[in-house]
Amino acid sequence: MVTLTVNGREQRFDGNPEMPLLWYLRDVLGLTGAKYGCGMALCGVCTIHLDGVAMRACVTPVAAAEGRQVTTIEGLSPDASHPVQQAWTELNVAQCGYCQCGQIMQAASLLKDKPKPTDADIDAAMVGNLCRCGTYTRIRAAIHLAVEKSGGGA
Amino acid sequence: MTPDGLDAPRGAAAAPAEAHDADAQPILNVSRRAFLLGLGAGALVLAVAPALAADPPRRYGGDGMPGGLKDDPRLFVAIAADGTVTILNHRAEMGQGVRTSVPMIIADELEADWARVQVRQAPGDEARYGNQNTDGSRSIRHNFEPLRRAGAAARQMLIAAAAASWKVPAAEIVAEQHVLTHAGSGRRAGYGEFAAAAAALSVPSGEALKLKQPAQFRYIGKGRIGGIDNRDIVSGKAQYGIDTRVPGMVYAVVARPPVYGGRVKHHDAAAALKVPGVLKVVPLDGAPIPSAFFPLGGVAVVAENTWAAIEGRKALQIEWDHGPNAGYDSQRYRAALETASRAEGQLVYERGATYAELARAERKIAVEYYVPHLAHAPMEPPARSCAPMPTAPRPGPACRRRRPRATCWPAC
Ligand code: FES
Ligand code: FES
Repeated sequence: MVTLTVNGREQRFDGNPEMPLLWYLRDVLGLTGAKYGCGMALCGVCTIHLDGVAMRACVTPVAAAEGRQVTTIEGLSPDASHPVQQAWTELNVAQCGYCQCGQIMQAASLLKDKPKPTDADIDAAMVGNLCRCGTYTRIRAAIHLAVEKSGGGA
Repeated sequence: MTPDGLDAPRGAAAAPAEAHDADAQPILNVSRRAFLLGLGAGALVLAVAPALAADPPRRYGGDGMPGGLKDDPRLFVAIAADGTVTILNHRAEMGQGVRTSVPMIIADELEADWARVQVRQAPGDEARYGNQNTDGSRSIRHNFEPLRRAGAAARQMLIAAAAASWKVPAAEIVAEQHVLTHAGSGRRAGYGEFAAAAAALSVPSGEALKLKQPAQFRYIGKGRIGGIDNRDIVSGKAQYGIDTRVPGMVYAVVARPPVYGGRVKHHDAAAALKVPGVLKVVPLDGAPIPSAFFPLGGVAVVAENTWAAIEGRKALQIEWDHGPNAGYDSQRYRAALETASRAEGQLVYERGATYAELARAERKIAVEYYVPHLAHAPMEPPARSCAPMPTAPRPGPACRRRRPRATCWPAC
């Protein structure tokens, strides 16, 4: 039995604790915001937060979340109001959007860590999040905009 | 499917089964809004009329494709009594933004206030909506004019309805941003007020149809409108093929032949079936090559969740017959391409004296580019959800490739 908190709600899982969080979230809890791309920590579309830090859900077993806080894109804000979500909407970052939940979770984690990242910080933090549509320049611009929206990183 | 089952997933034309009723209302997946279906107060939606008998049929471009092009506003636009404009997008979204651009074109000609526009996804039904084969950058190239005509016709029908009611010439009425105005008499009305009356009018076509001048465009080409799905995407609500969830569903993954054209010689499912959660292992025949758009076959593992299915697939023992491509060697293939590309080509078209000029050139630059032979690899793995008929909880359009046996999302 694994006990964890997902988007503020306590959950108990009595299935195989080795199941990657991604499948627990998507297939058991029905939270489909975190996506599946590679299953090998290579693309970043499954990115979620574990105690506020970006993690690849596809290679993180449910057991690793025992007693911890899992946040998915669905739980980042109740109404798409997180500065990163606002910036993404305003700058039309998404094309197909498939990678963007992962991008947003990664970016939100970066800003928690470094409220005013440089381009180099952004590139370093986002390098593992692939976008087949090639929205990288807008992603970078949106992160800077999110910094402004959250008060200039002050 | 969204929880209420009314909208197709973003990438697809999927919809409730009534989509196929011959006499269904033209705007389908809006049944929760009775007022849009012409049941209650005015909606600019009535039964679908026969196609516009305007121009003689042309057989090139979109007109030459299955289903052709449609410009009947009653297929694409519904206006509720409260003025809400619902526009149907009939092309598949895959990141090109067509769910925004198709409605934008109609809304611009209609002079609709974008803030009061809702977008719905059309089911797959080419007889009704015209061609829906979304590829080749054709959505806007082919549909720009027809969609403009649809929007302009709807605008003119609203104007005509107001003209009849106010007893003033239609030419004196201006439609702007959801408001009809007659300067002479000072009359004003919202679109919703005349939606029902407009729906009863005939659709203008030919000379009578007045498109905007491009300088009058409000949305088209202005970069003002954000992606219609932005908010859903950034909050994780946008539904992709892989996100379909139906009560009681099971999940499958397929072990595909490692070589194109290969087939299963022998498989042993015993170990896979021991993986907790695995329900069944099903060998699949593949289409003979060249397989075009038909499946490659392999061995499917069906399980209670995706992870169990993936683990089950890892446990499969499969002996493959690699088929006619067993000897394929990418180095040799590359060499063959390079040899062919350096050999003298076959001249198809020549203008000017290219070769003579090149021969005299003082400085020549030669570059070779090589792109390896790779499978298309989208971020989202191809996914399909099906329910056997007739127990589908929310029937979508049946697979039409063969005899209808299943309901599928996205639609076939
Ligand atoms: S699915 Fe987790 S990194 Fe690709
Ligand atoms: S927006 Fe399509 S993969 Fe990133």
